[in-house]
Amino acid sequence: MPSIKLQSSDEEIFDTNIEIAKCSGTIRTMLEDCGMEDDENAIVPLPNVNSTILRKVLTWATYHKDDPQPTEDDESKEKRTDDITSWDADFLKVDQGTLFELILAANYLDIKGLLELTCKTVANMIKGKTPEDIRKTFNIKKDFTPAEEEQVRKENEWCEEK
Amino acid sequence: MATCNRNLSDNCDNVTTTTTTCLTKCAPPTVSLNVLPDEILEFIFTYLPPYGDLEHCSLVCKRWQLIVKNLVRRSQLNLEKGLADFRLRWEIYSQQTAASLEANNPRQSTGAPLPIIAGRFAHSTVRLGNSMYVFGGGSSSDTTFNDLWRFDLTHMRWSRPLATGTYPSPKGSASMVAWRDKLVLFGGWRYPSLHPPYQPWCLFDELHYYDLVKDRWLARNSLPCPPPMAGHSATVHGNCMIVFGGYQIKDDINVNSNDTWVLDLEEQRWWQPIFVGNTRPAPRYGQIQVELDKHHLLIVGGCGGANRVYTDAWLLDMSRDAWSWKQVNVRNKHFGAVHMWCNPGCRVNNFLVVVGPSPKMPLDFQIMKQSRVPVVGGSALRFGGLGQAPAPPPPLYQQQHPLQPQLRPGQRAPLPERRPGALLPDQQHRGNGRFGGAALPPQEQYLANRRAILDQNMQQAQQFMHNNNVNNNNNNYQPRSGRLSDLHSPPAAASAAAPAAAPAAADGDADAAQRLQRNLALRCRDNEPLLPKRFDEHYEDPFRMAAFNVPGRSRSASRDHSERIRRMEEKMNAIRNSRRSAPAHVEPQKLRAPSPKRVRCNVQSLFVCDISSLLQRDANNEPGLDWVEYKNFGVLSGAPDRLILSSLIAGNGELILFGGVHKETLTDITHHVSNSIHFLSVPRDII
Repeated sequence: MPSIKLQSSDEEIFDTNIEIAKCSGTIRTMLEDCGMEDDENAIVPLPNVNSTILRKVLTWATYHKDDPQPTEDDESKEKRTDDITSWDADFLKVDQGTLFELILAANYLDIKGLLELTCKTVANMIKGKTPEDIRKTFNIKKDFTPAEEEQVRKENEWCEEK
Repeated sequence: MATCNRNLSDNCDNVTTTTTTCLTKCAPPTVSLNVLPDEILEFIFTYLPPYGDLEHCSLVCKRWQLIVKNLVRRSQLNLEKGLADFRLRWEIYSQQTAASLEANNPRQSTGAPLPIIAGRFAHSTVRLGNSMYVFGGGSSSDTTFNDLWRFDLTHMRWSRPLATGTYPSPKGSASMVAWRDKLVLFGGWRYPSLHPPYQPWCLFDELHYYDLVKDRWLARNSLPCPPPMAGHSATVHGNCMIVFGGYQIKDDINVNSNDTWVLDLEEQRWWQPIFVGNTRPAPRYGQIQVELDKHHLLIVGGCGGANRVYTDAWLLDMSRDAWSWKQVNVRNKHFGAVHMWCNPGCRVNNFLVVVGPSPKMPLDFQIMKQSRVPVVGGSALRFGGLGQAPAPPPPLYQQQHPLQPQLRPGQRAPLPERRPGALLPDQQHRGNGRFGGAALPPQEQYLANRRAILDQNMQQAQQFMHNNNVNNNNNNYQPRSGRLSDLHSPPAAASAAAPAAAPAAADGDADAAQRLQRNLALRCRDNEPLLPKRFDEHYEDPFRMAAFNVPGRSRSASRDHSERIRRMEEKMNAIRNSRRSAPAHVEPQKLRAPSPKRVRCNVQSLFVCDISSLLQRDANNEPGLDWVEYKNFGVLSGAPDRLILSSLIAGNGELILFGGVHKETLTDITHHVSNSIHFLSVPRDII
C-alpha cells in the first residue's frame, strides 16, 4: 500500500496510507496538482494543523475510510440532526478547544464528513439553550445594549408574523 | 482570522493562541466558539431547526445576529431557487423519528411516551410563530376529530394543549387562520348522523376563536352569519378574514357557492362586500386561496361538482369600496397541477406551490374510476370478484398473502406501516368525541365488528352485483391485486395476533355492532329498491366523505344524466382497455430509461407556479400565473406517498406537508390516513 508523509505545523511527520490521506480534498488536490502521487518520499506540509489535531483527524479518517459515499437520492430521509454514531460521539468527547480546532482542520483539509460531524455536534450543544446559556457555554461576551436586544427580539417577532 | 479574536480580548493571555498549537492546552473557559470564522458558524447554524433556536442565536451577540440574518435570507432565497429548478428533497418526521429522537435524548424524556397526533385528513392547519396547529379532520374510520394539536417546530414534537371553553364540533374541511395570538376556526363537515338515517352530510356554520394564551375555545355564533359550509377557503387581511366559496347548505339545499364573506375579526361581525360587475369565479369548493397583500388575494382551482374540476385563477381586488374579481391568465398550463381541490397548496413569496398527483400517470386515472363502484359492491369485489363463486377469495390475492387468506371476523388488521404508532397495545381508542384524537388505534373491537358484518353482507352484496344493471359493463369488477393487502401489509405478527383478538370480538360491543349494521344498511341501500335514494345516488364521487356531492338537478333530469355518464364510462373503458392491453409495458420502460426513480409514480409530485407578475402588477406586464416546467414529473427525492386532503404550510426555508388519506382506501373499512409530517427543503450545501 503506497503511503505518504504529512507534516503538521509543529513539524511532526505522519506516515499515512495514501487512500486515507485522500479523504481530504485539500491533500487530494495537492497530490494531483503537484504530481506527488508516485513520489514515496514527498512530504505534504500542513501548516494550519498541529500534530494533536492531525492525529485525531487521521484516527477519524482511518475509521471511516470504508464508509460508502453519501448518495443523493436516499429515500425517505428522516428529519433530524442527532444521528451521530456512537463511535463518532465517543471520538468527539473532547474539550471545546479541540472540537473547534477539529472544525477548522476539517474545513482547511476539506473533509466533508468530519466537518458535518463536528458542526452537528456544536449545533446540538446550542440546541434548546437560552441565549444566556449559549453565551455561558461557549464563552461569548454579550455586546448588546438592552435597547438593542429588545430591537432584535422585536425583529424576530416581526419575522414570525411575516 | 482577525474577526475570530474579537471575543477573546478579555482573555488577553490567550489572544495570540487562537488557531494554532497551544489552543488545546488552554483551559476550556478561555476558548470561545467565536474563534470560528463566519462561514463555519453559519454552517453550524444550518444544523439548527430554523425556528426558536435560531432566534436564540440571534440574541447571543451582534456577530451572531448578523450571521443568523444572513442565514435566514439565504435559506429563503435557496428555497425559492430550489422551487424554480426543482432541486429540493423531502424529509419525513414520522412516529419512528419521534421515538428514536426520544430514545437518543433521555434527558428530555419524562418516562411517558410523547403524545403523537392521530392520522387524519381534511384537517385544518395553520402556522403561527414557531408552531404548526392542526385541528380536527377525518379519522381512519368514518368519524371526525375536534382536537387541537400543536407541532413545535423548534423541538420537533407534538403536544396537545389542554383547552377549556366551548369546543367546536368534530369536523373536517373547516377553515382555520391565525390572527394575533388567536386561531379562528369556521365551518366544516362531518359524516351524517345515523339517527335518522338517509341524511345528507352535516355542515357547520360554527365560528370559534382559540385563545393561545389562555388555551381556551370561544364560540362566537353571531347573526347574521354565512350559511353552513365546508371546503371554503379563508385568508386574513389586516383585521378581516375573507371567506370564499365552499359547499354550503342554503335554504335546505346543498349547493356550491361563489359567495364572498368577510369576518371583522375584532368586532366579530360578518358582512358581505359589494362587487363591481357580475364577473366572479364559478361556484366551487376546495380551492386554494392565498393572500397576496393586504388588499389582494388569489383563488386557484377548486371543484364545482362532478366532472367540474377547475384549474383557473382569480384575483380579488379589495382595495376599493366596491370589490372586484378578475380572472387571471394561466400560462404553461400543461405543467400545472391538476385536482387543485383535494390537494394542498401554499404561497412561498413569489411562488405558489401545490403538491399533487404526478402528471401523465395513467394509474391515477384508473383509481378515480375504480372508486365509482357502489361502495358495498366495491368492497365485496375486492374479496370475491364478480362472476366468481362468492366463497373463495381470488387466487391472486391468496398467492400474494398466504398468511392472510381473508379478513375473518375478529381478525386484527395489521396496521399500515406508515402509522406504526397506532399499534401501541396499551392504549385504547377514545373515539372521536370531544376528548378524542390522540394517536390511539381505532378500537380493534369496533373494527372486528365492522368486518364481521361486512362479511355477512358480502354474499348478499355479491348476489346483488349479479343483478346490478347500472354498472354491469365495465371492468372494474375484476379484483385488483393487493388492494386491501397493500393497505394492511401483513407483518409476521399478524397471524399470531389474530386468535387473540377473535374471542374479544365475538362477544363484543353489541351497540357498536348495531350502529355498524345501520351504517351498512345505509351503504347497502342499493340492495333495497324501495328505500329512498340519497341525493348523491347517481354519481358516486370518489371523495364521498367530503360531503361534496352535489345534487345539481332533479331526479328525472339526472336519470338522463346518469345515462350519459354510463355511456361515457363505457367509452372510457374501451379506451382504457385498449391502452392497458397493448402498451402496458411500454410506458414505464420509456420512463425508466433516464433514471430508475421515474417509475415510482404513486408518490406526491410538486408543482410550482410563478405568481410574481401578480405581486408587482405593473402596467406593461400582463399579470398571470406561470407554471414552472417541472423536472422528473415533479417527483423529488424522498417524495411521500400519494395522499389527498393533506395540508401544506410554509415554514422557514421549508414547506411542511401533514396528514392526508390514501385515496384508494376511502371506500374501505378503515381508511389509510397519515400522521407523518413531510418537510420539503433544499438539500444542504457544503461551504
